[in-house]
Amino acid sequence: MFGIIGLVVILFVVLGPGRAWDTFFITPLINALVFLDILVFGQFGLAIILFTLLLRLATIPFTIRQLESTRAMQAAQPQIQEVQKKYKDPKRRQEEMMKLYKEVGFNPLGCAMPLVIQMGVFIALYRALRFVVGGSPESLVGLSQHLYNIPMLQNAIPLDQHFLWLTLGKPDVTYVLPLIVGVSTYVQQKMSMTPNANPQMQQQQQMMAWMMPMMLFFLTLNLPSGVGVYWVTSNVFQLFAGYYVYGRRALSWRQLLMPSAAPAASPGPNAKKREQAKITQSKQPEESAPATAPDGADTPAARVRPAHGKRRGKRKNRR
Amino acid sequence: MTGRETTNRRRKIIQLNGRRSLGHVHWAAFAFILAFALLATGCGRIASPQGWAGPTLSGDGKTVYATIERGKIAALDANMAPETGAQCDDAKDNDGDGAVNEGCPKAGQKSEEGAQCMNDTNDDQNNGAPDDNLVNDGCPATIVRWIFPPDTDEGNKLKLDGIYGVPIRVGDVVYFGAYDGNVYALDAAAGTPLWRFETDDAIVSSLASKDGTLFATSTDGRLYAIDATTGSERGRFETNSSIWAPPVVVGNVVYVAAMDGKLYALDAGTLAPVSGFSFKTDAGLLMDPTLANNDTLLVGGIDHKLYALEPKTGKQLWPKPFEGGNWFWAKPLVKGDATYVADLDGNVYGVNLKDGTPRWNKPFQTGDSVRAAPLFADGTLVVVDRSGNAYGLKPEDGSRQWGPTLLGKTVLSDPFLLQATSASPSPAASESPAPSPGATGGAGAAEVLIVAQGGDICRLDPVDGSPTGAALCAKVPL
Repeated sequence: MFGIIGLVVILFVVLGPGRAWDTFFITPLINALVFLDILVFGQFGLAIILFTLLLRLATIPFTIRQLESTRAMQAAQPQIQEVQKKYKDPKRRQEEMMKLYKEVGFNPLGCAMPLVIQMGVFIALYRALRFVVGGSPESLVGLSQHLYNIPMLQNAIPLDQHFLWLTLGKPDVTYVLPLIVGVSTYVQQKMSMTPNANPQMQQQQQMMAWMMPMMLFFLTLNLPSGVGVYWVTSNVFQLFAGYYVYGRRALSWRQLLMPSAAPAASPGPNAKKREQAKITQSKQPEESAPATAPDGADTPAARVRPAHGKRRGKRKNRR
Repeated sequence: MTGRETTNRRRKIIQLNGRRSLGHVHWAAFAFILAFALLATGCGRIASPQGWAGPTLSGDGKTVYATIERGKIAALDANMAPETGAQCDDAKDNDGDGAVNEGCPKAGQKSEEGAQCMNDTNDDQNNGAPDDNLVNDGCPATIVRWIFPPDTDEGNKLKLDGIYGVPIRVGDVVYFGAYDGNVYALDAAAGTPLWRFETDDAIVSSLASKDGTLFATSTDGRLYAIDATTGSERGRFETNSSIWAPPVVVGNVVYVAAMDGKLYALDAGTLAPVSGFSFKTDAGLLMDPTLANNDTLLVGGIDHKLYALEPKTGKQLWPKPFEGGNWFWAKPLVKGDATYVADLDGNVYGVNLKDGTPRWNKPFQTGDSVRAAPLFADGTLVVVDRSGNAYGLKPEDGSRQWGPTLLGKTVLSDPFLLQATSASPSPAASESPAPSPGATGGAGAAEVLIVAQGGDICRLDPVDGSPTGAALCAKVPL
């Protein structure tokens, strides 16, 4: 991974950011889209969907890791609250939190990777669509600079802009696609939201749950519809991935409509365990609590199951 | 607990909670970076056709019709040179361009402006008293006769989106097609609309005219025959492919180059295909079909090839088509037994019309794609690339005579040769087929007009590429 990142950085330095971005991202993407368009008999909307699915399949390990990290965070909420209450010293508390993250298999970088990939693809796709579907004749002039000199690709130009009710090179003025983008983003976000006991944080999360879909709604209103098609397909894929990892419960109406409260706020299957943990906690002096108990069973981290590679736990959770 | 402790505690809680909802921090970061990146990559410019119609001249040589900004066309005084010196002291049209004291310096506190420049009276006042005793002082050198759509409530409702085809003037009417899919007919004197004809998709090419019938191609894949007087449809021909190139009328035949790679030859009266004519390539045809020396039809497009065809049969005249480095979109310039053509890789080629062999040792390489047709003026081949680099080439060997003159604007429209004291009708203003730009060349002082994206008009001397006006490029004063 670091090797690839290093290579990309070197190429960007040698060629310059603009040319490197064009040569290694935009141009291949444009040609891939045109090739997929040929495969799906000139339906460019289907080509975008196919491209999105292939890309998401290629990055599925990152996606699953992200979802499992989020699930682990959800499962570890009681332990996180314990750490919060138990350790008043910020430094110590941070150490304990990091230990807990490590134990549960939560990796902040692992969470960010799918988003970074998505963002890169989103921007590249937006740039590519400006050329490919030709929102204007000027863009067709630009396309000539990016298309490989392969007769099959050249002969496919111009691509059909029309897909369902959309003109892929232009924003959807019917508001339907932006709405679908907004709703699917909302559902997808709610599904992966970490529960929280703090009312202030709950409020913040609720705001975020609305802000992102709203922002994408307005972005889609101004972007070529093809970008919206990519976004919707990507969200639907993420929902299926979420269903695979979290199970049906994650897609329940309750989960989607209610604020994401922490398990501590409402009695659940782990309530008894948490009560027990509280009793244990109250018997120990706060600041002098050892990082790990001799048997390794008393710290919050020790009671949490790691997220990765636990297929049995996953199936149990899904049930 | 002190206030400071409370603050620290709150900060710690926020820090901790922040860590707990890292997923959302990422989403937020993602959202903001995405918004920034989209803004940085020019979000506002998406799907916004600008238009690249080149200018054309009226029959009396006194008016230039040019697109001045996105989706707007204007009738401009063809004599863009200002009155100077003693010419400004009287209220007379000394340079015979129909405008009095245009371009004269401001006198007194105020300039005349707007509608005050359109009459021949001293209009400007300062605190209720005449500001000076001069007519049209401070008015721009370029007189705008009219603008369509006008800046009125009704005019502002019209969104033409962009004009790509060069307007044509037939009699007292100016015709053009717009990206909104409509063909417009305007009164040439006043710029008022006479009629509008709607097609099903954008029009990105010029019109052709013959015997009271207009021919318009649309990206909806049809050729329309329209009554030039009433705007009613006389017929249509369906190609089942989009059409980006303009129709060309030769005799009684209309040629239509389509994106399915076919060149259609149709009877101008019935729009029925001409029997015995057939030509097809694998890739779309973009270039304006151009008749050379009445016996050769040049077409080209996405497959990087320039074809020379026999006009009656469509049979290829050259042993093999001439191959360029990228798409051919610029209309070729025909001069004698040679044609000069540019591709979207920025190469300019000299090609022998007889056999399609290169005329120059190597093509001339400009700095960017060339969509604008080459122009022949005063023995110089003028070429402008997309980045606004203008070059003067020697037609015999393709070597550089001057340039690049940096216009500093994006240029995709065909340059136009304007005679400084032109009083004779330009061939471009006559009925189709539109002549190649080289046909407007002639003796005497001349200037090249180039309409840049955004509406700036650039004026340069074809002999050395120097500016002919006070500024190389300037916005048309509105």
